Amino acid sequence: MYRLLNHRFLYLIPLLLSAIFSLRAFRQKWPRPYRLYAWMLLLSLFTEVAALAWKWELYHWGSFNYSQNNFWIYNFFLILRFGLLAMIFNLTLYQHKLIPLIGGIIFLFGLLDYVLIHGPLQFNTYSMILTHICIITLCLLYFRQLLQEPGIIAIQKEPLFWMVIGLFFYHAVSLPFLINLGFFNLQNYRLTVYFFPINEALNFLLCSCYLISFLWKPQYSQPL
Amino acid sequence: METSILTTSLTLVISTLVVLGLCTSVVYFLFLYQKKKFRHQQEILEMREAFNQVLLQSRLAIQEQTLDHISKELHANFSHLVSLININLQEILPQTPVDQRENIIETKSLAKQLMSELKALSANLNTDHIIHIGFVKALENELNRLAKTKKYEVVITKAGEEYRILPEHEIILFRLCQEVLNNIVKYAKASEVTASINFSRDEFALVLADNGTGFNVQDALDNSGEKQSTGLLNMNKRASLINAELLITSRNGTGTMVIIKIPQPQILKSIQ
Repeated sequence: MYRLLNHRFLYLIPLLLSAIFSLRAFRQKWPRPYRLYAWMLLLSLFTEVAALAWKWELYHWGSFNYSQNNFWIYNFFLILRFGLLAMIFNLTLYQHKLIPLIGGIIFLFGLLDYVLIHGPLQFNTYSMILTHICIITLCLLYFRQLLQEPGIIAIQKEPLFWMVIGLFFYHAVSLPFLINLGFFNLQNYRLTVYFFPINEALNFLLCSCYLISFLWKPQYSQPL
Repeated sequence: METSILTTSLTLVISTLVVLGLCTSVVYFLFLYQKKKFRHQQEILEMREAFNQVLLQSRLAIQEQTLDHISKELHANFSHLVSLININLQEILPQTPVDQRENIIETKSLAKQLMSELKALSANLNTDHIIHIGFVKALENELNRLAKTKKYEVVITKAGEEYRILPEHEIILFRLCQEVLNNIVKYAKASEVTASINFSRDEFALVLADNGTGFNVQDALDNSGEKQSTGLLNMNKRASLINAELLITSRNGTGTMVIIKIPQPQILKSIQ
């Protein structure tokens, strides 16, 4: 338990709170995209707990003695998370004809990367880069939709807007690093380590956005 | 080697900051655009509101003009015709057989009554006349007309130092009261009507109440605009024109109370 008292796990506080607040989406019967978003948060929290438990205890639980590497949990979570995000954007964006097709292809590629190309115990950079690019594009499409909205919507009170802001910052800032990850690993492992504090900060920002989003209620466009 | 690592890590940090800056500017632009859009919407709403006010004022002005015209017609033509009928009756009275004279005298009396009713109606419709005698007197006249029918017991009470407000406000207020009284006559089945006026420098308050059948205010407001029942809607619009607060309280079987309040009325002069 004491191991959790470290700045590396600070993001768990907003994540836990946002997961608790996200239960409102089910209790108050919010529209489907918001409920999917709540599922995504619950899945994120479960993944974090499972990944930490695996790394600290579960890998040698009982008579088993597996690898301590928990990448197989994170990699699988990232594929599922992408699927959920694609569904949320598919339900939110007006022009969404290509989302199921492209999202489906990337999802299948992610599974392929997980099983065959990189395998579950290595960081799945190929599918990661693809999902990052796809999520950034979807975030930009969401912003464009907000700009083109004929009515007016209080964006600062819209849960999905905060989710998209968090995702946009996280994925846009970490994408250049992800692309160069292989090169950094070849050059010097210390370069990869430099990204950890940046990733920590981004993770905290993302979870804080999740938390802010569930302090509000869904907003509906008011006609001009 | 160390320099290369340092350069690469510096590049990493700078590129992260640049991308972070770009993302921030995208979000900032979004907020800025939304703010502008909101301001624009407010302007449109204000313009629409102003347009509706002007439209309403024009409608009321036209209505007043029409009423004025009807009033003058009633006074000039109809009253003249009734006078002629009276004169004719007076002329044929001596030539009429004795057994029919009673009828002619009765008809003359009815014509006189018609004449006075026409004059009263004409006075109530005439804007200039209302402005001349003032809102309170006009309302008293209207209530006295109700009392004359002997169907209603009318009570008028006044409190505070009486004053006059802007003539156009008085006209709108009077038309509002006419609408209320009209509703009492048409729907309330009341036997008692009370009017109390409170003159205060901070607030002008008028209460019109009856002991009739009452009605469900919320239902009536919800149905406003349907089936030509625009009475409550019109009353609210008229009240908003003079910045008055209109409050209607009523329940089935308990009568109705209409409260009209004008905060900080523009007082023209006090009446001793």
